[in-house]
Amino acid sequence: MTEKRFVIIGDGPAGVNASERLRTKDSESQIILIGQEPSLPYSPTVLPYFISGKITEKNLFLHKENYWRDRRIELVLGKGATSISPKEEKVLLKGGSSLTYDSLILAPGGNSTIPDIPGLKDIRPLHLRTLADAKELKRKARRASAAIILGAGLIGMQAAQSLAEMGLSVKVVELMDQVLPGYFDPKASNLIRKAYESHRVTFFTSARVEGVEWNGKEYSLSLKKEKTLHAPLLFAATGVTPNIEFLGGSGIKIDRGIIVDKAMRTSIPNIFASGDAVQAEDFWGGKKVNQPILIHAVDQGRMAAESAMGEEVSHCGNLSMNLFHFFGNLGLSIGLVSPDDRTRWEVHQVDLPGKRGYVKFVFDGDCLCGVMGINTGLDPGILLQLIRRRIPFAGDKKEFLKRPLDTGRKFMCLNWR
Amino acid sequence: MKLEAVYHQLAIYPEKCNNCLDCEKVCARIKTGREDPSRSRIRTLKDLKGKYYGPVVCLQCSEPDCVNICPSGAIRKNPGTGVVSIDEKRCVRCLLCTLACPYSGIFYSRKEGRMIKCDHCGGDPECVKVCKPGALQYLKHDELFKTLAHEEDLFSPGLSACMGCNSELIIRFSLKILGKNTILATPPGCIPGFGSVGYSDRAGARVPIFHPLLSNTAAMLSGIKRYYQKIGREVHVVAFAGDGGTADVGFQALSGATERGENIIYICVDNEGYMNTGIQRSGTTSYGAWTTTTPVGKRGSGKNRESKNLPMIMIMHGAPYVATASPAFLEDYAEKLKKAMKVKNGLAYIHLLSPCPTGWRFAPEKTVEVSRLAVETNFFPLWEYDSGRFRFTVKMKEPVPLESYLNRMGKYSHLTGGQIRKMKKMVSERYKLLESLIQ
Repeated sequence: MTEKRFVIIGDGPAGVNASERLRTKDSESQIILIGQEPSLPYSPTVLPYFISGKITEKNLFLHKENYWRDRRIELVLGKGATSISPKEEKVLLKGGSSLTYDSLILAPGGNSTIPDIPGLKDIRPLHLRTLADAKELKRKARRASAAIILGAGLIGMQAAQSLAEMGLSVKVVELMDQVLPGYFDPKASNLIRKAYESHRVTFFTSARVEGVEWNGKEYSLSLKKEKTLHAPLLFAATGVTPNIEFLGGSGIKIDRGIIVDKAMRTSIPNIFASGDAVQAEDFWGGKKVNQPILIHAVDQGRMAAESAMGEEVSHCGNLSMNLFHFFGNLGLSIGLVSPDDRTRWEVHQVDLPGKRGYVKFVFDGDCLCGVMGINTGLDPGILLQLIRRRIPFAGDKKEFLKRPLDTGRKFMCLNWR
Repeated sequence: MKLEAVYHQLAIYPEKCNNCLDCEKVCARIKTGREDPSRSRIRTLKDLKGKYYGPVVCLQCSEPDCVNICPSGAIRKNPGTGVVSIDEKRCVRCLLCTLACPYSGIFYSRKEGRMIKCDHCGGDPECVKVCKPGALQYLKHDELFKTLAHEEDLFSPGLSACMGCNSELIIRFSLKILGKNTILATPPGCIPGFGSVGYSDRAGARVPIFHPLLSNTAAMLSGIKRYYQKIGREVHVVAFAGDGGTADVGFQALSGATERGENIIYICVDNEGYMNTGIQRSGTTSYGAWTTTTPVGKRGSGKNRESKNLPMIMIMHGAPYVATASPAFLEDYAEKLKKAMKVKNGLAYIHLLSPCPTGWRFAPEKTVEVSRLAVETNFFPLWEYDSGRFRFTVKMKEPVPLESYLNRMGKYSHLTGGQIRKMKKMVSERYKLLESLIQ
């Protein structure tokens, strides 16, 4: 094997998994992992837990320094890329230095989207993407008694839980008519909302924010047709924007993210991309989508590495999924959960008596294509594989609906174990 | 520390599971002090129609998805033991591992308020001890693998054996144990046929190897061994012969060498016929088997004679060490070969049953499965005879019905009920003879 130089931009989960995969497969080549922050690589998913104190700063990094040294993965930290030049096969770094590569893997992640609300840009609300953000939020939250959160998506809901657990009274403002839109149906999102409300979290759904002000002590948020909310903390969790500005002028095809095919190849032959910054094929076909979730970042990071090594790989496509642990309850959502066309999809709802929950299965013919529920007690990994692998239920659908846990495991034994 | 390629393994044999739940009970008791199956790390499939699918438990994957996804680096695979475990101080209970795991190996326990998974009980799984039907077994194949993996492969690459042939596995494996201080003889048969003869790094073996006649293997090896004995050098002189070269054509030389007490190791790789010349019957072809010279048709229905019980004949010859071996039980074979290497007072004989996908008519990927079934049905029991003492080295608690072995291949596909009954009787008689000798 000839020695090559692999450069990876971004040391989040996608970049880290790409580097580890490369090293497993190739013990000789040089691997350089470029991180924007000065700290060792970590996963941003862990940050809400850092705020609530479930994990200390000492324990939050994925690996100690010697792990990277032992694997000869060179870390270039505190130095994000400012631009790349595919022609010269070169990455320019903050501070003026540069690095050449044989193969480049882009995993730059994303930044928090700041919503277009009058006055918001100037007062810089708190958000949560980096460890520095988390530290700032934690420090300010310790001194505050209340907080307003913009957006009831996953990050917003997790931050709401963390802040509530710290003892703050939390107000969550959401544009849509329910919490966690897209992942949960109204019935499930109501169950989630109730669990939050019993922990001093108030929700304002279908709420359009008309303006924000900061008087040096408190933020004031005026809602359309509603009262004005006040709190000393304002946290924005209205989505993630791919961090792709530095690719301007590189010639790489970009839309709302870096466009990749199923093998994580970009429009330039020796450049690959993965994670929150990509726009990849959707599992159900159709347009390419940006779907910034951890499981995709891990899978795509590893696939980008394999692809960069010349192996033939194919990602199954972005499939919406999430697992959500809130105040001792468990929300689960995979695939198509709120189909609009009831003639094509077959929906089964099962109430789980005594378990404070319910589960909904969506079938497309003989194959499962969506699961959603609260406190289902099922194996999320098996349900995900049933959908991803499009396993035909072949006459066992009734049995599955009656005993989803054991029948799911039976499918696993028969199909992929 | 680097990860190894293999580790001890908690193996699941779903077809043996009888859903007794003993594994769940003992696991819950050991891990939580309460015999409450919902606290168990291993789960059986309950209340389903049809057969049992065996317990569900963490497989300790070689590249675990739970480790890759864990956002706090709390899940690790131990490079020493291969066990995947959770660091309580780091786990934030995000549960993403349960989404990444396709095998239902990691769970959130509401009762314990934490993630739970199998940890092999620190290297001595309790569930295996209580599993009466043997659906759970703790395999330690990796121990042998780890020692042999670092030994030089004394056979060159690029052999032309049939797809799925056992012989390459056997010869590479045997040479790793025999080591470089070995001289080999491979008489006509499949083994020289696939290119064993030749002494270089590019072809054949990396130890001296020669190609005697089919009839004189044991005689030639006797001469070679005596020469080295005369000059005072210890060397292992080993034959890899087929059943034709052992039981039929080569038998008089073998019989003579055994009787004279020549100190050689003679390994019969028995594929029950002359396979490389067109699948003709041999003395060890089993009763009922189809070959091109025991055809199946209007008059013929496979071989109508019982096979020669060659290992027994070798004991009667006064060989100090005689054993049977199977490529599906390599640890057992390795122990036997090591014992054979220590024999100084005569001939050591190992009879290895080597199912042949080409001649027996089964798919190449089924070779090891068929080899295992031959042992599991007691068709070919594994035993040894060491200086007057007999013992079973692998004993089946509950033998598999003989039909499951016979059904696996084409050479028995024509058998009538009467023939199968006769075969069962032969198998049981031979087994009873062994039992009577072992008591």
